[in-house]
Amino acid sequence: MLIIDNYAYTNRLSKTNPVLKTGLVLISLLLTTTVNNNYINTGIMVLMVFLTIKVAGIPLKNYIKVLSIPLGFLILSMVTILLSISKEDIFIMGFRLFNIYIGITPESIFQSIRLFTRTMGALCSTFFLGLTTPLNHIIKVLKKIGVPNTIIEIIVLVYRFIFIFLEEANEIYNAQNIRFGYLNIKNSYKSISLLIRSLFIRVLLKYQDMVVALECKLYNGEFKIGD
Amino acid sequence: MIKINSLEYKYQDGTVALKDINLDLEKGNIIGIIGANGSGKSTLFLNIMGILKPLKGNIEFQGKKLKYDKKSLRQYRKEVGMVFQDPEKQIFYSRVEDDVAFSLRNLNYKEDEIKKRVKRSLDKVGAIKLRDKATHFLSYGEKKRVAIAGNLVMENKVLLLDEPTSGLDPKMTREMKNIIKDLGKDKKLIISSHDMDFIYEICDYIYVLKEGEIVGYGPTVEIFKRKELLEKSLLDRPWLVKVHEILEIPLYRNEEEFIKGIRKDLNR
Repeated sequence: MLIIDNYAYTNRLSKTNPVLKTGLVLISLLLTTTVNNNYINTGIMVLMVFLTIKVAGIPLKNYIKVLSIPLGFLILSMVTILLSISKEDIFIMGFRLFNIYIGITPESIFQSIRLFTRTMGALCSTFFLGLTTPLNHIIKVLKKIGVPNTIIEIIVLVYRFIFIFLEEANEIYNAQNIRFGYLNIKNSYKSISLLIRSLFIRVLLKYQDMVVALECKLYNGEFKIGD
Repeated sequence: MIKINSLEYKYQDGTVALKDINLDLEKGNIIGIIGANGSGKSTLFLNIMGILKPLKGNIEFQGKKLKYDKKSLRQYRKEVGMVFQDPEKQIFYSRVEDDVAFSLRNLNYKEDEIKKRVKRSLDKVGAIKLRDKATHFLSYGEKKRVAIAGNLVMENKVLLLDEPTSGLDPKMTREMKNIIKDLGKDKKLIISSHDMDFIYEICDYIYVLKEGEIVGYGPTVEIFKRKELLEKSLLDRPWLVKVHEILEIPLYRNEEEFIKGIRKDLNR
C-alpha cells in the first residue's frame, strides 16, 4: 500500500541487524549536521545511494519517485538562497529589473551547494533507513535505547492504524468510483465530502468494536511491547 | 461449565434482542449456535463474554453466577475467550508475534513463557511461518488464523468463535474445520455460523436461534432432521442430510464417510 513500507519488508537488507543500520544512519546524520563538509556530505550521499540501490536492491525509478517529494522542497529553497537582490550590480550573473538587480553571487552559489550536499546526505541516509528497515525493527531499536514506553506505544498504534485507515478510505473510494462518483468535478466534490463523512463514521464504529475486542483480551490501559 | 438461565437482553432503543435464553454448555463439546442474520447470535456472544449485561436472567460459570465488576470479569475472561468475526478488529500490532502475545503481556507473563505459548498457538493454527510478518500484509485467512492464535495463548477452557468460516475460501474453510476439530479435543467450543455444512460436520449439539429466541435444541443429527424448524428459522439443511432424504441412503456425518459408504454400495 505504501511504497516505502513495502520495500522495507522486501528489500535485501530487511533482515540485517537493525541496530547496525540505525547506528550507521545516526552517525551520518550527525556528520552532515555538525561537520557539514561538502566532501563528507557528498561521500555520505553516494554511499547511501549505493547501499539503497545496489545492496538493498531498491529499483532506481521508485527511489527517485520517493525522493522527488523532498527534492522539490530542496530545489525551491536553493533557488531562494541562490538569488539575491541588490541596488548595485555585484553579481557574477544577473539582470536588471527597473532600478534593482537580481542575480547570483559567488557566496550564494557556495551556500546553496552546501545546502544541497548537506540535505542530500541527510535525506539519503534517512531514506536508506526508511526503505531498508521495517518499522517493527526500528521499534525494537527504540526500545533497546530506552525510548519511553508511551512514545513507542503511540508509534506502534499509529503504524497499525494508518493501514486500517487507508484500507477503509480506499474501499469507500473504489465503491464511489465504480458508481461514477468521480466522473466530473461536481461529482468529485460531492463524493469526497461523502467519503470523509463515512470514513469518520466507520472509524468510530471500528473503534467501538475494537474496545470490545480489547476487553476480551484483558487490556489494562497499556499496549505492551516485549523485549 | 457455562449455563445461561432465562436471559433477556434489550437494545438501548428498547427492542428486545434476546428473550428467555436457556443454554447449557455441558450438553456437548462443540456447540453450534445457528440462526439467520439478525437472529441474535452475536448479541448472545457478547452477553456470554460479559461485554453486554443482561436485563434479566444470569450466566453461570462453574456453578457460580457471573459478577460484573472489573476483577471478576477479568478472572472470567482468563477462562473464556472469543474470536470475533472480523479479524481486522482484533489485531492491534503490526507484528504477528506481538499481537498473539497481547493477552499474556497484559497479564504480565514472563517473556520466555510468552515465547513458548506464542509458538505453540501459532503452530496449532498452522501460522508459524507468519511469526515475523507484518499484519497488514496478511491475507484475510491468515489474519483469521492469527486472531485465533491470539486467543489460544490464554489456554482458556472455553472459546467462542463467531462465524469462523465466513469469508474464507474452500481450502481455508477445510483447514479451519481441522483446526477447530483439533481445538475441540481440549476445550469447549461454542461456534456461531450459518454455514450449515460446516456446523453439521463439526458440532455435537445445536441451539437454533430465531428473532432472539431459542426455537430448537438437541444433538446435531436430530436438529438437522427437523425440516420445518430449519425452514421456519430461515436456515438450510446440510447437503448430506438432503442427500440422505432424497436418495434414501444412510445418513453420513462427513464427505469422507459418504464417499466410503457409496463406494461400498457400488461394489456390492
